[in-house]
Amino acid sequence: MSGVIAPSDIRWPTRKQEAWKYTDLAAFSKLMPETFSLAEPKAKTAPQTLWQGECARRLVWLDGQFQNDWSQGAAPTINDEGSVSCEALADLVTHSRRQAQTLVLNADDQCVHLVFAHDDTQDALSHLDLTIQIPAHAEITVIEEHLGGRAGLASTQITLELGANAQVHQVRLQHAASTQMLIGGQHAHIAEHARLHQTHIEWGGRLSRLHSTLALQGQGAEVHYYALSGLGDRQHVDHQVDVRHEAAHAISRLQARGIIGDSARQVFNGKIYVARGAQKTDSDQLLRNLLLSDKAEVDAKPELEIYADDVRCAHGSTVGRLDEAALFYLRSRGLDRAEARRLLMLSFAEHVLREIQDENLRLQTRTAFADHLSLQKSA
Amino acid sequence: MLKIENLTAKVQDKDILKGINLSIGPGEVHAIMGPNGSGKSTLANILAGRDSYEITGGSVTFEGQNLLEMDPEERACAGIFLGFQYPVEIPGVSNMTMLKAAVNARRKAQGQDEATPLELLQKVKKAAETMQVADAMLQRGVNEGFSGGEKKRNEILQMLVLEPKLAILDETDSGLDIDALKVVSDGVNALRSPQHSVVLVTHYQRLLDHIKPDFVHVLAGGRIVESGGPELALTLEEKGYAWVTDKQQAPA
Repeated sequence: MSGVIAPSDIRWPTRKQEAWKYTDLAAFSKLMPETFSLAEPKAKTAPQTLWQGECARRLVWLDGQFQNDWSQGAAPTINDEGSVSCEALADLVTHSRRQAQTLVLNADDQCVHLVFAHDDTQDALSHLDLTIQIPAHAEITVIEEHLGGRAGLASTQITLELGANAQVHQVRLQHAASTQMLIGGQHAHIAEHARLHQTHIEWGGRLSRLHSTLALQGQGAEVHYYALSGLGDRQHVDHQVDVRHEAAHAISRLQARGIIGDSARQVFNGKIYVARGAQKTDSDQLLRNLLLSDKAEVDAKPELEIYADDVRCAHGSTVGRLDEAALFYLRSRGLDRAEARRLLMLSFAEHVLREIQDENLRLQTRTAFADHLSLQKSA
Repeated sequence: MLKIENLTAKVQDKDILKGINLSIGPGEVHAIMGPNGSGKSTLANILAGRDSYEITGGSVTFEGQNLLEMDPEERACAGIFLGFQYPVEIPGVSNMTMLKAAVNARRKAQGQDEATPLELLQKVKKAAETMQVADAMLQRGVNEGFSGGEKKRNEILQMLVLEPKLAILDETDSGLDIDALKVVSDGVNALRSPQHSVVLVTHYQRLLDHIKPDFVHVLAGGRIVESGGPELALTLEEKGYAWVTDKQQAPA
């Protein structure tokens, strides 16, 4: 493997593939650097994470490479071979500097901080395949951060395996550098009566794609997926979510909110699949987007594919603008336009932010998120 | 303090205000009454700076400044307060957060430092007591899930915290039961002083039983057709608005 690779040498997924319809990587490749580096990461200082609290384990990767010196608690084990879960990305993965690892959590871990940092001294092309196993009955909080980088492209595919009755409260914060590109996968297998609660907050990166397959494989399994993005400039965030109800009596809750300004674009495709035997499925999907400028764009699509007859599947999707009456109300109290807009955006965001259980983390996230939104040109 | 001269305004192509003249001095309480659609709310909203109206003529000065050229927040910081007929719900932003931002915006405009948390808390607590608003409501989102009466009490609470020079209360009495009307009136009376003026926009005489106005004006068809003392409200209650609208239509 040579030390560099040109984006033009990679076969990108095409827009003909439905899942890539709104994220044309071939077009994005023209915005990428002339060559990506495949060299070892060079950054010398540990990344500044948003979460500074105590955790049993803090594990840090730099462009897919595990960093022992910056981590605490037992390291993940290295696998021989990762699996490429997405055919469309096969060529990209083949050309990337890649690693596959397994992380086995235990009930004592309680809180795990996973830091996926990216090198700000080179434009890296990397791929990490990480399998996280959560044993039955464990209750674990996972705080996941994606940050840093330059004009690199990082693919991070995470597989979560939840044992029976396991409870995972996962908060994923994406605040990468404004030129970094990220392609992520979150693939969960959820056993009976296990519960996965995810809150995804994104406000960084030039391009951030996240493909989630959330498989409810055991009876009474639950998945709660909350997503919030705050985008400006020419940021592009694409979430593809496949919820698979494969067993009866399972619950899924999806809520995705986007605040999109400037020339940014938000794509959300939420697909609920209910298998033949998955009776008493209880599923909700709510997509809400706020457009702050005429050049901002939203492509939101809820989708249902149901093969069982005794199910409840609700869905809704709205796109709106900041409420003028509310804006005037706040300004009539003395708040200037920028501050009034900031509070209204936070009001909209709060429906997702409040899902973050830890109060400190919630406050820090809210502040960082609002600060990012305040950078936008006032429309 | 406030001087409105020959103010005309329209919404889309409909003339709503057709030449309003009104002067309000420091410490005065004026009631503006009138039938539905007479332009009362339009006038209140124009004074606070809502931009959904087109001002077609006339002038409004507030303490010597041209009010119509100021943004809503500049008017608020200069001492104007609008009590909304339909207060807006802002879930997820607590009353305290909004009050803090509002108080500090004013202080900043006056070149003062931000209020200390204790100062702010004491001020809000005092107002909350007068308005019989529970602490828990202060921590809830602005008007989030409040009943109609709670929203109106919250408007007056904000007014008491902000201590405006001129409070314009747009149908603050609508939707209130007798007890709530009493609480709201007590709140307004608490603000009354030689430095604070109040404009009450209302349909009904009953609010004026609790807040005694110095002047009463009748707005009909976009004009003030009758002005007088508190006794005018009683005449209206007795004879109905038809009495003044008939007078208005009668040939001069």
